[in-house]
Amino acid sequence: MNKIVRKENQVSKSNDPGKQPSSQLGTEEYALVAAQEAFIVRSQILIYDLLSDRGMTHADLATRLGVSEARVSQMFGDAAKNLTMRTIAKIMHVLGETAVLTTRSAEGAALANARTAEIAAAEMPVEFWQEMKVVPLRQGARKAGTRGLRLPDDLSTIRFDADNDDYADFEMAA
Amino acid sequence: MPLKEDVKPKAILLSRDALPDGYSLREPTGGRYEIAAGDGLWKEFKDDVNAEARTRIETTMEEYRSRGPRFPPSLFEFEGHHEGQGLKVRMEAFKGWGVRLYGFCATVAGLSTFIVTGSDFKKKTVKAKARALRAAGAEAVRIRKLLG
Repeated sequence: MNKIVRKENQVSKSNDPGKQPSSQLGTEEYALVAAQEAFIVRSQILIYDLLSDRGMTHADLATRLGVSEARVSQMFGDAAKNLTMRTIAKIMHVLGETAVLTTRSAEGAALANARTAEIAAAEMPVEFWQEMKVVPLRQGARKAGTRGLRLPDDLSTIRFDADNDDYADFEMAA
Repeated sequence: MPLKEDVKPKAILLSRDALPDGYSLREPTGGRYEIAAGDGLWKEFKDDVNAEARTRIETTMEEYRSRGPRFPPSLFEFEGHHEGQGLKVRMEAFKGWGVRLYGFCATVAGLSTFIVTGSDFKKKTVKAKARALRAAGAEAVRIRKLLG
């Protein structure tokens, strides 16, 4: 019974869209293949960059992961064998990083927020910044170390990142 | 990736002016690096190569345009030097699922450009692969000579 189930789940080479010439695939079918390959390639490049930055080889990574060098090489191959979510998390951990999965739209939103704050900061009159230099800590701030101030007119709130003096974000009054 | 409207015309102009006949910049971004290839080879790559090989190489190329030639050897690899007509050209290849796009890097009208000069679209014997690389190397020398 198990053997039959496995056979049904197998994708034969002739039916696998990835093995078909691009010109024989529909737009969505091709996009689906592209999404998978692009994600794998970018994951491999990220791991490669982390190793390069640390002056590490495949052998070093293999030692830290407790696997053979051949298994590490497979992770960089076309099929990216063994490059599972669990393995990616392990690799990041042994390299002193934390794996985070994100999306282009989430990245775009974060960039847009940062840009909005940057523009708002650039448009503030000089007197405003002079004023802000003496902002006291707000009692009852939601996040430890966060300073805030209620402002009149079109700005309602300004928040400063306690860990980064260059960062502030703004909320406009409704 | 959508092209930046302000840089696309400039890149196309550069390719028309500076690249040899039949070669064009492919999906130029106006970034630090560009990729050029012959019309016939590029069409064959787009149409005939299997989808996973094509997308794997295209993703590597997209990264190449912003970061340059720093990749794991499974994606982009040095393939030795090709000598001819008193020139020595450093050959490299974009790789994916047995497909190779051979070429070399040159400065074309101020743009650091990887010029694809040959290909190996099917898994072949070692000898056939060597022949494909030699042909790509000879074309690379010809292009290098034309570029001056």
